[in-house]
Amino acid sequence: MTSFNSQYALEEALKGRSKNFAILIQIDHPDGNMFFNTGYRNIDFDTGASANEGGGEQVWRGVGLVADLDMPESSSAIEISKFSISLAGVSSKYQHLAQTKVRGNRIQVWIAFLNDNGRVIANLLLEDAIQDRPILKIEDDGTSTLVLDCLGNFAFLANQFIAKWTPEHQRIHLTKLGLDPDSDIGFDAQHGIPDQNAAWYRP
Amino acid sequence: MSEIVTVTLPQNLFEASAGPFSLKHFRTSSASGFAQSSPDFGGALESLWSFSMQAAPMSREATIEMEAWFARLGGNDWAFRAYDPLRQMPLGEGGGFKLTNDEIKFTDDTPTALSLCSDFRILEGANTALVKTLASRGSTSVLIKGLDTSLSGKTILKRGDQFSIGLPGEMNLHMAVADCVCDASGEARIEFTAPLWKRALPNDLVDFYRPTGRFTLFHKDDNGSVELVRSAGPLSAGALSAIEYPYQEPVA
Repeated sequence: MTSFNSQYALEEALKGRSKNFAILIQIDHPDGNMFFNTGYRNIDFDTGASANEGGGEQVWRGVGLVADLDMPESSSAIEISKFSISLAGVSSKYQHLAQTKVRGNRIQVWIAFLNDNGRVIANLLLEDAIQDRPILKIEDDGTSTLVLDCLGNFAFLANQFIAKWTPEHQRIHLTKLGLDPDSDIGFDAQHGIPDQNAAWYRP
Repeated sequence: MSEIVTVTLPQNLFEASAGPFSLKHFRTSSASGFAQSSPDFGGALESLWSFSMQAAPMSREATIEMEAWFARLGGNDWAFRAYDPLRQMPLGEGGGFKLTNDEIKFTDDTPTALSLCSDFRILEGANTALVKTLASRGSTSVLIKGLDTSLSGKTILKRGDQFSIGLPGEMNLHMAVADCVCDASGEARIEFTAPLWKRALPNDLVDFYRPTGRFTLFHKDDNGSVELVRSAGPLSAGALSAIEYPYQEPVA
């Protein structure tokens, strides 16, 4: 999905602290996948997925259709997190989402960095999640909103690097460097402290 | 919920105020709305036309017409097309058209004619041209054809002139950012902003006279963020604040 060039573009976008971005949301559905973005302009974007997964260039629709995307705060915890997406001004086209069983279908969320003409220059998958439960709300003034709860964090789990640096990792690292893996016993000792049933008292 | 209904604003009921259309820059600061551009916000940057108009002092007939206009919308999701009352004609030659001497002349006062803003009579020349080659979404220049060859070497649009582009009845408003000169074969390249919302296909229309864009009302809260108001309702105190709601594809 991420070639060398797009990885480079992503780094440039992040280094430049690009503020020109949109969040892209793909909602999989048996009747046909739906593509939205949080911006105003429709965006052409190809996720690079295979054709049977909804790949190929798609039009990701903007114009304020995505009313809210309630993403969890970023955390290092390895857990399933819940988030929700709200679609405003839902036309009959999207009401089938509320009327059919969608639980278990996939939902993916990307951040896409854009150039001045609204074209995607870099992207990153933020969430690869499953849909839980849709709720259709119709307010007194006639506006309708569709809220779709999702279970997320699977992308994070898949990409999670080893967060802990243990003596085992250090041994592997030292061996790679051609050093004696047992040469640093201080880290072993320090790491072993939590395993000690030590009683601290005044001598 | 129905799809968006687009109607034409009865601009004869509004005064041309000192503040004509202006291109404002917004960021979609969050998914819930957008705010006028500020370094503090992140999000997609867009340039959108915006304007405010004040209802003219209304006669009994005009009041009834205004009420009928709102009633016709029937509680739909709606948007409307409008042109800049102070920039009805380009500073450039446009399609080389000439208007009658007596400026405002209603050709017909049927609702259809009024809704098409056809209350000027064009004596000679064309007020339109056609797109020659496809320009994709996001393009900032387009090649046009079908201009009269007598315009060769003349400036069709001067920098700052407005024009609209698209299918008849589904046109978006843009502004030329450079002088656009007609060549010997009746073709010209227009450089413009904002980038195309919708791709321009060969033979799509380019309109120089009363170029229209599509707009919707908006509500602005205290911290400057903007929320679109797409349901029909009478104007508060006769003032109308509108923001561009461009045609895009697929049609929204």
